[in-house]
Amino acid sequence: MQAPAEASDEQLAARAAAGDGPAFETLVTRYQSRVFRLACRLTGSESDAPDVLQETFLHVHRGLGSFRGESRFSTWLYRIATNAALMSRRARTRRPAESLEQFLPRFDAQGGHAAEPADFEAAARADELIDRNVLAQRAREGLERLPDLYREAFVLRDLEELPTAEVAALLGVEPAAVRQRVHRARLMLRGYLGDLVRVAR
Amino acid sequence: MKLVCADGVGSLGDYLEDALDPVQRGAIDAHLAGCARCLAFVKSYRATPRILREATLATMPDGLDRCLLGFLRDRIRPRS
Repeated sequence: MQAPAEASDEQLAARAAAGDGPAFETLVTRYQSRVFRLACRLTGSESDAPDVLQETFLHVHRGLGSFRGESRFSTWLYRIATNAALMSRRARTRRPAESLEQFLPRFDAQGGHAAEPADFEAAARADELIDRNVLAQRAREGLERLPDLYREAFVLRDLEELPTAEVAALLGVEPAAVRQRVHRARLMLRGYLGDLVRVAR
Repeated sequence: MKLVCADGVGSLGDYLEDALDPVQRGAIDAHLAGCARCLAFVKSYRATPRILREATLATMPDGLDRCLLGFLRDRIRPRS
């Protein structure tokens, strides 16, 4: 028998479903930091992340009996963690965030870019031009200001770097819809970074 | 097929994921070859995920892993 640390997720999940506690704990250890990071990115707050972690792994444990391996274990777990994070967001009352629409690219009457290449070059170097701690804070605020559907898709695809097909399966939408939401989020955040650079200068 | 910047920007996500047909793709390639603004725009578009990813890298606080395991052990009773 393989040592738990070398077993695949699916093997561990099967053992855990049969009541093998160490197999379940190996899965927890394997995924806890990824779930923590996802929770921070989706909830916008490190203080909500511990609850999301607990909820996620309790839910995983309860659902192991019905996990049939139709999707990858990680996809299934990410879906549970995403839902737990969204529940946690809803539980907290928030001030309505100001939209990022204003940062979408602008065009002249002929459909050409209204901004100069230098503006775009600056946005691409936001991480060099803005203080690290300030950028960390502003990045979190930027994510908060995205519409929920865009935030989910952007966090899973671009920050957690899951393949588009996996994000689509996880959110229950077509890959084209994921690409569209991620694209809109990138456009808004790109302009937002450009604006941060302008303000910082 | 002649594109303006706004058309190219609209299709950029699909372009970078290689989800366009060859004709659309060719039109964007041709536009990019002659447009300094779009080239710079694409650079900032591509940098955006990386910058946000690096700026939101949270690590678990010390001890949270033990708290989590303790919580789960407490809530999940071993089956007899």
